[in-house]
Amino acid sequence: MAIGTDPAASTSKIAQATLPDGFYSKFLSNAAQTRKASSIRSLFAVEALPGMIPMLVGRPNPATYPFERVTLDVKSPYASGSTTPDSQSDIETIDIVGDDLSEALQYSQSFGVPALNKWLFTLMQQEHGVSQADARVTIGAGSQDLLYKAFTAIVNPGDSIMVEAPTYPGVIPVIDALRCEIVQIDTDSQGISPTSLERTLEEWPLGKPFPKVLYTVPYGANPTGVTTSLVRRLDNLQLARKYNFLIFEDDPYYYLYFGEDQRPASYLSLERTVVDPQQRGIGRVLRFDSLSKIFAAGLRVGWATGPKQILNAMDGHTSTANLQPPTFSQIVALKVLQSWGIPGFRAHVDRVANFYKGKRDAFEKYMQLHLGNGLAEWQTPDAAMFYWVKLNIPETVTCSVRPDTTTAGSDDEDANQGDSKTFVEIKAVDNGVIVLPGTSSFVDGRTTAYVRISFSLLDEAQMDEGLRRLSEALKM
Amino acid sequence: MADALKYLPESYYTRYLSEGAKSRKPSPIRGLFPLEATPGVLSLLAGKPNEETFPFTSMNFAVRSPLDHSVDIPITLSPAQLAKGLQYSETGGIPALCAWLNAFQERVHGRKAHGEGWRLSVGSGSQDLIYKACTALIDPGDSMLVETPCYAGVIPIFQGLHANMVEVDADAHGIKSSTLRTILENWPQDKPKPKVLYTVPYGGNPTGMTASLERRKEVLELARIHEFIILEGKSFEFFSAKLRTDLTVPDDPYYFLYYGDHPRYPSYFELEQQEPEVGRVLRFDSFSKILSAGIRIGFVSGPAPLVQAIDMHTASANLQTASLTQVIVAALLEKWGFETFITHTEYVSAFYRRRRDVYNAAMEKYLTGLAEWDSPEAGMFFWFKLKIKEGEEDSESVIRTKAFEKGVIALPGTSFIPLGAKTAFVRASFSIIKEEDIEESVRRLRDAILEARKEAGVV
Repeated sequence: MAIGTDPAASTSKIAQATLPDGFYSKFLSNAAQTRKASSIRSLFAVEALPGMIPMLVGRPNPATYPFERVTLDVKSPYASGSTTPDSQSDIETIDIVGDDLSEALQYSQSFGVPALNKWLFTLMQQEHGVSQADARVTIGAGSQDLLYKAFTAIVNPGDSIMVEAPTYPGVIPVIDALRCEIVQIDTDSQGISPTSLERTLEEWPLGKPFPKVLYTVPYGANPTGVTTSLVRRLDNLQLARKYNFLIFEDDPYYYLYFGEDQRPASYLSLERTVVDPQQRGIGRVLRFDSLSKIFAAGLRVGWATGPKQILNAMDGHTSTANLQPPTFSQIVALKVLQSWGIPGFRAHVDRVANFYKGKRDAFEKYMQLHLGNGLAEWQTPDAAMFYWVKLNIPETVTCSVRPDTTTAGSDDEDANQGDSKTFVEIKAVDNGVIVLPGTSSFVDGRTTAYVRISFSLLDEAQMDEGLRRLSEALKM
Repeated sequence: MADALKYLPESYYTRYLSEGAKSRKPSPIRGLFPLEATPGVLSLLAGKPNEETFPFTSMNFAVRSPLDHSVDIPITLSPAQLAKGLQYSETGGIPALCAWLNAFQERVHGRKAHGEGWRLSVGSGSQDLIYKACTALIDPGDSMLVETPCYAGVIPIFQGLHANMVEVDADAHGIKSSTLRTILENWPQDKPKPKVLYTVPYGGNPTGMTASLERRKEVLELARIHEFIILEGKSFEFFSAKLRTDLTVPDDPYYFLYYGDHPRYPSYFELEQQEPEVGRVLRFDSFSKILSAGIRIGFVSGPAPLVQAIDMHTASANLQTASLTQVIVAALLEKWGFETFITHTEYVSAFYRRRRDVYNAAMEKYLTGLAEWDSPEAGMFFWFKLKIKEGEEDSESVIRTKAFEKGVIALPGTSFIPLGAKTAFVRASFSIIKEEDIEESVRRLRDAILEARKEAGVV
């Protein structure tokens, strides 16, 4: 469970070249390449020169802002017991006043508040081994904001991209809107199926441009809960080098890993530590992190780490589309992170992971109790907050035929085993329980017997009752 | 006014929506929310993190009283407010803030939040909302009308969408509605007419000018005849709130220095109620100049189908505006109430008006005969024309070389011309500059202009 351990015994650190800037010109979309810089934001640097009297930007005068002080109480990451603090001594009070407050209330940089950006870069150095030569960090208004901008920076209409199936439902509308060709790559209990990925690439039609990107959620994936094994990660990285595609590593649940085994290293880290005899260079991984699951989703702070050329294009998008992530949220996060330091941050995320482990253990107990008798099949997750469950749906629930279910490479094997969407809408809801039908997690909206069950917010009584109702519905 | 306002039907807007907006799919999870809300249903649906794992246990803040700046008002977020602020929240803004803003729009613009076909949505600053509105309306090659000069920050949005920008000149009385009429009446028959007009009718950036009532009415009439949507850009109108004589604030000597000499003209959003039907105005507001830019909160008000298209974009692109800053603003506005908020905006107006006056005095002292300007009635900018030599229409080289060398930097006017033509105008911002530096900065500008004139052979 320790973070930052050596990814694999067989690897060693050797100097590897970073891919040259020119490498990315064939990846960047037309929109990214033709976007013009904001004429005002591009002059920020000039204004900061010593002795210069600035009359350039339209920043409001902070003296007109009404806020005088902001005070936060924060739980100590080292407090004993559960995540609920036991006493006042476990609480630290953080004041945001003076220059910190003025900064929090004011416009800031497109790539985020510089001090927070620096803090996060240091974390990425320690955690994933990046260096200033091969990567930088940009902060977004949540990692969704950055995913949207990363896809927009890379994908032209008609381009192909690869997405693991099933996948995070929230990313589907983002890539749909870019009108690209989406190739689904199968997954199993170990993550992305290497045979599916390799076959897709080997059988790629002659003359057709290869997919530009593989999108994957490697820890506690939404919806499957699967953490991709180290072996699979190495296979996928090898294929990325061979077929020259980028890996978008969307990792909001990285810090929510609570498995017994040593945690596998990130793609970002593996790219730097796994020797490539052919020296094909570092710079194919773009990683997305988030404070949403460990600090507060309502802050809207996430960050991306990876090749500067892609991040520059994303920052250009930010500077026209929404200027910057919220400064206030960033200063709140920064003050807490500075107070804790990286050791305190690690202590905090370990507590968070333990909290979800406790939830998972309880949920597993009720899963066994109510669905263990042949009503469903599942793999117990080692991270995050989801169970991906194949329901043994009674034959009385007829398959609804949806027009868009017959596309793509699915052999419709699942369809023969039941339609969880109809089951949820008719049987489960009538029986007083709702879960997410698996069809939402497939780009092609295929029929499936799977559902996603989330356990993060439930207490034990709700787990017991919710799963009891689901089992009742399955028996009806 | 008739008691029931007639508004355009939802189907009317289909013709305006871009291909991207029309094909955008709803979030599959959010579509299940109505089922989740069924009474008695236990939900195992939401992928929200558990708030117990968040490190924050309480939050409070203090604001200056707008009535007496020596008094701080403490505000503590309730446990429910804090929980709301830390968690994921609604796509279009948290209900508490939306409710306050709906009441605000009704007070300020006379528009009722229900039964008039419009609604509002909160975004991550008004730039976020303008970007999404334009994306919802403009397909590549579509024509749009852009008031010129225009806020430099939105031009890259129009360029990025490959809009065919048609400039509409503005002068000291705002957008020239007669020019707009000429453009539209001579529009080529075989070419689709512009879908939208982008205009900032009050305290425009960069010019600080305000569109007259007659021009506003004519623009609305043209919008009806030629069927375009008015994007009423973020403005500084709060800064020229009407003079109030019912307040005494002894420690605030410039309190009564209201900004602007006219009464405030009604917004397009308000004025359109005098049209045969409403539904052609999409209005953008921002808290960046009044409460804080770093909180990133703006809001859009207008036809429900267009606001819906913006929300659909948000749902996929960035999910929502930050919950925490929304909760803080809602708590502040609820504490203050409408009147106190207005009083605060009047204080802000007075602050900028005083700076305007100091700056104007320096301009008169050093730049008389060397530049031309209208003193702004709102906002934080002077927009002035350099007089280098007859026929010289380029401020950029003077600013980027001579002024820069002399230690002062302002923004060359060409940044504000959508199609990028050269111009002798310059925008100077007086918001941040220290008051004691104002005179020196204008003196440096004078030196730069004199040097340029000398080189051009003008004595």
